[in-house]
Amino acid sequence: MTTAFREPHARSRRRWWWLALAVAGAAFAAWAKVRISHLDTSTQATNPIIRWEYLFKRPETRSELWTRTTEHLQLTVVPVALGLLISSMLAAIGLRFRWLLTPITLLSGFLYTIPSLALFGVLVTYTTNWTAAVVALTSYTLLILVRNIVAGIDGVPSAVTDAADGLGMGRVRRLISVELPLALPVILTGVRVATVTTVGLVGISSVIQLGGLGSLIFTGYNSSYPTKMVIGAGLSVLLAVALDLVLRLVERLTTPWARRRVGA
Amino acid sequence: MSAEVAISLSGVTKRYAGAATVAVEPLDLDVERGHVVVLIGPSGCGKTTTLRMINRLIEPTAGTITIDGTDIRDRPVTELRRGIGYVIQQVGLFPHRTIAQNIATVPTLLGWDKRKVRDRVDELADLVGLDPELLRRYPSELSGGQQQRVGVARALAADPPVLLMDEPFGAVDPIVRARLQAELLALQARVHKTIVLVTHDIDEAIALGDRVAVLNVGGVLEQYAAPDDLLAAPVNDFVGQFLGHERSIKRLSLARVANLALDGGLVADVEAGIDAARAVLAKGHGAWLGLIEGGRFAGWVPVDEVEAAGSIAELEPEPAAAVVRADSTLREALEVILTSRSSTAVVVDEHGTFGGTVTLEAIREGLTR
Repeated sequence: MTTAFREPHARSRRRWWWLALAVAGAAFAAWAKVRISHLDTSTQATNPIIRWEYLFKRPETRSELWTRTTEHLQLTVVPVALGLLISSMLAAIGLRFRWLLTPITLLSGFLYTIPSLALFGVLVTYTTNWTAAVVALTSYTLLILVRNIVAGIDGVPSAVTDAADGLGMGRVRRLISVELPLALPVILTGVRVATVTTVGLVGISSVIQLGGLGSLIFTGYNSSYPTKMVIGAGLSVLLAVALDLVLRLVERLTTPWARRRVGA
Repeated sequence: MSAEVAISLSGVTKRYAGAATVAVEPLDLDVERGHVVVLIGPSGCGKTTTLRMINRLIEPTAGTITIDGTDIRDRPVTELRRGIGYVIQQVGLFPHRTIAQNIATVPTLLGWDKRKVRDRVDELADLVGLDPELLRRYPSELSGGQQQRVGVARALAADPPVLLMDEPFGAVDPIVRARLQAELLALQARVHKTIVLVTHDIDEAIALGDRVAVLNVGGVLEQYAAPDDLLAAPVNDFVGQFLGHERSIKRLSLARVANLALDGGLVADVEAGIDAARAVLAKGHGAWLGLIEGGRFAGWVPVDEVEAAGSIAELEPEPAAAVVRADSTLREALEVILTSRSSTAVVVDEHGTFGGTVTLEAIREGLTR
């Protein structure tokens, strides 16, 4: 019973190391590239990987990076929030009518497999770019969120729900005051995965002129200006890490009972 | 105890859709107020199903169940359950709530004010022997035995007249189980609830039950009797086998010394004089004469010394090696006799007043009655 609630922590800690490793790798690659470009002045020196004057000498840089980051943040938070809302309803339906759970999972799984670029392309013909991006990004969160909500609620020990029933809690009260609080660690793990995934996916939405950190990467690529690419990618990773940390903090604050145990 | 019926099952049947056999055959069972009734039987006998039908966690296919004469279907189900204590084997404490919050579950559902809830929680912690320090902890920080005590406290929180217990001590080790059983009996002596308890442990049934209902597969009620009657006279082979091979040994733990037809034995009052003492010896056989002085047992004297003595005052009685209380079980009396190497134990009441003697023979007679 207790170990079931501890598992997510262990798993996310492992992912955390991978992320740190990736950042360290990227930093090393960038550093190595700079070193090489300094050595081979004839071909590379004209276009270094990082132009410090872009970061520190250009007055518009700060506001540009701020705008791109907030655009990115918005395109992450709105779809995840919407996704959580829709997934909650889908999970509630699936938990109430068990036979609908498989079709719901299959549908959200199907949505997950559609290439994002293709989905953007189709959706923009019907609606505004922003709406198209939000719809597409939202649909990608459903699979993870529905699955984790259902798993979280199902993971509540049957003795606990039996006791809740036997003591005279109604269905709604049992859900709100027993099942949801106990499922919270698993649900929040799902939200974290969905958030980090969405941060990555938002990059591609710059294709439909919605800005975000992706547009930094694209303009950098198109204008052979690697500094923008590095900054865009770096900020994207930082944003993912920051959101992950915030959600982890939320989880810690909402589940004080999960950490306290005998001898701990 | 009064013979008033608290819970009554009549023609209660449970049939699961698509199942070949009936889970519970039409079952009639009356539970008297203030009694502990134990449902026992092999797996598949429907004992847990029967228990869960009483608080409508399972709905009977047919038949009616009444509590205090009212059909349990006449009230909203949540209201019914808040009026029935419920304890289960896995305890089912809410891991995200403190012990105090767990105990306060039903009072909170009933909308009691905070102060009253807090007082009640303190009272219950005391009642079930829970350190008040633990009230602020979470369930995972407690031992299995402590958790089970919290489960009982939570069930008793709103002072329900009826308590349902589904293998309440099945998940704790034997030492803790024995202690919790003793605590439950002590608790029951104070609160006088009507308790229906499910177990698969015949010793637990005998130890806790005022009456025991032995169920066979399919919810067939084989015998419904007080533990001692059950052990003395099982109605058929099924019940006999279920009770096991050591029925007489088990009865020793149930019957009390006071239940035996205690005879005075070879004892004489010091005040009556030496001739009266010799008259006692003439009536029975034995090597020792007991002397009573001021209502208390003074000690044993060898018969030949009594014969030879000129007066009672000359005799020097040896203190009794085997003494039992009238409320001791026969098992305790037997133990005392076997370890003292005396064939006769002296029975005294709580004030030390002599109440008779008990012999191996008397114990054997008591079991064959």
